[in-house]
Amino acid sequence: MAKILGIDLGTTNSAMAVMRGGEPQIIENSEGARTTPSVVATSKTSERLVGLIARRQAVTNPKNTVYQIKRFIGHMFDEANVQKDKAVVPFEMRKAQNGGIEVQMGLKAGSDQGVWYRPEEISAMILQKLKTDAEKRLGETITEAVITVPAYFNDAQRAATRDAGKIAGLEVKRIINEPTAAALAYGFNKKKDEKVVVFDFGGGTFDISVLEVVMASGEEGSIEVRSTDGDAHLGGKDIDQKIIDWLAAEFQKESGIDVRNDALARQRLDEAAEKAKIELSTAVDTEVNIPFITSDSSGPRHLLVKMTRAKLEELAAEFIDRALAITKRAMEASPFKVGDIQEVILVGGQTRMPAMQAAVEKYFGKKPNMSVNPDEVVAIGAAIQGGILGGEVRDVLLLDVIPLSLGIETMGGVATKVIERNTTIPTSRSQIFSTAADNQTSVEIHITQGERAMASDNKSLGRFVLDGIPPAPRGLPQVEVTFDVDANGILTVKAKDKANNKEQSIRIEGSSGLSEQDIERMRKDADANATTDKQKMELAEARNIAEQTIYSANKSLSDNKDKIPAELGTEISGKISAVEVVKNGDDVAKIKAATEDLSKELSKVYEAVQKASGGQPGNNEERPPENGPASGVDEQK
Amino acid sequence: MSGENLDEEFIPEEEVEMTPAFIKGLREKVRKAIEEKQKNLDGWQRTQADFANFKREEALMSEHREVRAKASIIEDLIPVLDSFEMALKHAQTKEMNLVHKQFLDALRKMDITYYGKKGDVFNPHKYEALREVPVETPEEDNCVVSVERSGYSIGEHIIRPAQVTVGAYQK
Repeated sequence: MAKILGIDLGTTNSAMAVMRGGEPQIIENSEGARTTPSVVATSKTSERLVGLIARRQAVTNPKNTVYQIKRFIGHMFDEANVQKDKAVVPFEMRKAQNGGIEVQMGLKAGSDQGVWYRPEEISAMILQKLKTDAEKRLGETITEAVITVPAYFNDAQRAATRDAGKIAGLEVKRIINEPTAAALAYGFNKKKDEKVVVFDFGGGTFDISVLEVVMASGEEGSIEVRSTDGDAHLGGKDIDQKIIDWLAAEFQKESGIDVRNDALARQRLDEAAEKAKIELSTAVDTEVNIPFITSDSSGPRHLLVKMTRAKLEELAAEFIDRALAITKRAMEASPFKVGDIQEVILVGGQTRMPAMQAAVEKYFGKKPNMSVNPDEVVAIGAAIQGGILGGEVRDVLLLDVIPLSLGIETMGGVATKVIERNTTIPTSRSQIFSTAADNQTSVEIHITQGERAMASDNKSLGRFVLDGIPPAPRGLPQVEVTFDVDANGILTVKAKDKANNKEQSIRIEGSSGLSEQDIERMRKDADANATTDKQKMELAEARNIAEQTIYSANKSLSDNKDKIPAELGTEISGKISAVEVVKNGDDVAKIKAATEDLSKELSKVYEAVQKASGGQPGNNEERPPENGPASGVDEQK
Repeated sequence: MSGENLDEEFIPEEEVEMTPAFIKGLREKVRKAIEEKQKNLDGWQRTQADFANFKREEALMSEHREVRAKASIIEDLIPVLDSFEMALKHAQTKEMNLVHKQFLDALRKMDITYYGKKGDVFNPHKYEALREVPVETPEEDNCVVSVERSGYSIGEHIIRPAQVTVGAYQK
C-alpha cells in the first residue's frame, strides 16, 4: 500500500510528513525547507509559482500573488469576516455565481482578462506542490492524504478543503482537526479519558482547543473536541511588528529618521527582530546591530540597540494576555475545570517564547508539553493518522533493543564489544579475532554483558572452547566470532576457524533476563567507574602492545641471527628485558616508554638486514608487524 | 513466533482421525496461515523497502551534507558581508576593497557563488524583490534596477537570494 501523506495546510505556512519505518517523519520541500509558505502566484511571465518563490516576487506582483487563502476557503463572499479580510489583501476578489468567493490571479493568455480561481483551487496548488515535492523525496507516487483543518472549521470549509485535495490529485482519506493531530503526535489517543488542551499560537492565528480522549473498543481512543475558540488575527506576526516598531522608534529617537518606509531597512529590521526574538528565548539580553541602516547628510547611520528579555515580554504582553483571555473563555465553554486538564500541548513556533510558556503554565498549574517541534507537530499528527488509516501504525512491530552491550573477553582481560547496547534486535554481528600465542590450538570464547572496560567487571554469560586450530604463529589464525540475537532476545554465539571451518557455538537464553534495576545499576556502575576503567584499559592495551613487541623482537632476533651485528643483538635483548621488567607493573607510562625504546631499536634490524643483503630487502627480513592481532582472544591455560 | 507455539499446533498424523470436520478445521488453519504469511511478507517487504529508500536517501543526504554545512556557516556570515558591502558603498578605499576581495576569494574557494547584477531579468528563483520603482523604457521592465544585497548560492542551492529593486514600466 502506498504512503499516505499527512499535510498541515496552514494559513501562513504548510508542512507535510509521512510514516516511515513506523515513525512519522517531516518531508522537506524541493527548496530543502521543512515548511512551505502558503503563497501562490502567477508571475509576470505567466509562470505558476508556489511557496518561497512566490513570496519572493510578491512586491512586484501583488495583484497576482495570493496568500492566506485559508481565511477564505469554504466561505460566502458576503460574510462580514470575508469583507473585513478582503479589505486588507492586495489581490482582487469577487462574488462567484453561487455566492462563494473567487480570487483573481494572472491573465488569460493574450488578453487583459483576469483568470479567476476558487479558494479551493488556490489551496490545491499548494497541495500539488507538496505532493510533487514529497514524491520526489520519497521516490514513489503519492495519491492519498490526511489534511488538517482548524477545529472551528464548519462542514463547508471542510468540504472545500477536501475538494482542494481532490483537485490536487489526492484522495483525502480524512480531514482531521489540527488540535487532534497535535494530540495524536503526542500519542494521547492511547490514554484513557485524558483531557488535553492544545494552545496553538501560529504566525497569524491563535487557536485554543479543549479535547477529551474517549476510549471506544480496543486500545484506540477517539479524540473529541469539547470546546474551541481563537482569534483569526492574532499571532507571531503581531509580536514581530511590535518589535520592529520599537526598534525603529529607538532609532528615530537618536537619529530623527524613520526607517520604516525604506524597503531595505525594513527588510533588515524584520530579520533583526526575528533574530532577537529567537535569541531572547534562551538569553536574557541581546544586541540588535544593523550597521549602515540608512544615511543622511551627515553620512551613514547605524542602529545599535540593546534589547532585554524583559523588554520583549513587555512588547508581547498584550498579545499573550489576549490569548490567555481566549483560553479562559474556551475553558469556561468546556465541561471541565482548569484542574481537570492533564496535558497542555504547545503548537506554533511562537510558543517557544518563555513568557508565553510561563503564562500557560501559570494558568493551568502545570508545565506545558512541547517535546515535539511545535512547528511540525500538526503535520506529524496528520502522518500518524495516515499511518493508522493505512494500517501501518497498527501493524508496526514493537522492535526491542539490547539493554547492555555484548562482547567477548580478549587479551589482557579487556571486554571487546561485539554488539553495542541499544542496538535494535533481531541482529547479527561478526568480528575476526586471533590467537595470543604461537601454536595455540584452541581459544576460549568468554561472553560478557555490560558497559565496563574489563571483562571481569561485566556479567559473564557463558564460555566455550573452539579447538582444533592448526598450529600457527600468534595473530595468524582467523577466528570469526558471530553474535546473533533473535527477536526474543536469545543470544547465539558462534566461533569458526576460517582455516578449517571448524566451529563451536553456545545458545544463551538468559541474556535479557536482567531486571530493569539490574540494567540501570550496571549502566550506573559503568558511568561511575569510567575513569578507573579507562586506566585499566590503557594498562591492558599497553601490556598487549608490549607483549606483541617482545614477540616481534624475539622473532626478529631468531629469524635474522646471522645478519644482525652482535652489538645490536645485545642491545635488543637488553631492551626486551627492560620491557619484561616493567610490563607486569602498573605504570602505563613506563611500559609505553620501554616498548617505544624497543620498537626504535627493532627498526635498526631492518636496516641491518638490508645492509647484510647488499642493500636489497631480503626475503626473510623482519619488521615489527604493522597490524598485530586486533584483539587476540584469551590465551589457553 | 516461539517454538512452543509451533509444537502446540502440530498434531502427529497417527493420533487423529481424518473426519470431514477435522479436514475443514485444517483448511481453515491453512487459510489463516496463508493470510498471516501474506501479512508478514507484506510487512517484511515494506520494511525492506523502507530501509532501501532510507539508504538511498542517506546516500543522497551525505552528498548534500557538505553543501548544507557550508551553507549554514555562510548564513551566519552573510549579515557581516552585507554590512561590509554597505560600508564599501559609503567609503571606497583601496584597503577596504582588498579586504572585500579577500572575502570573495575565500567564498569562491568554498564553491560559494556570489551574485546579483543590475540589468538581469528578475527571476524569483534567484532574486527576491524588496521594492519596485518606475522605469522609463519597456526593456527595463521586470529587470533588476539595483542590487540591495548580494545573493549567495552553492551549486543549485540558493543560500540567500539576491535582494533587489525591480523596474516597472508603465505604458
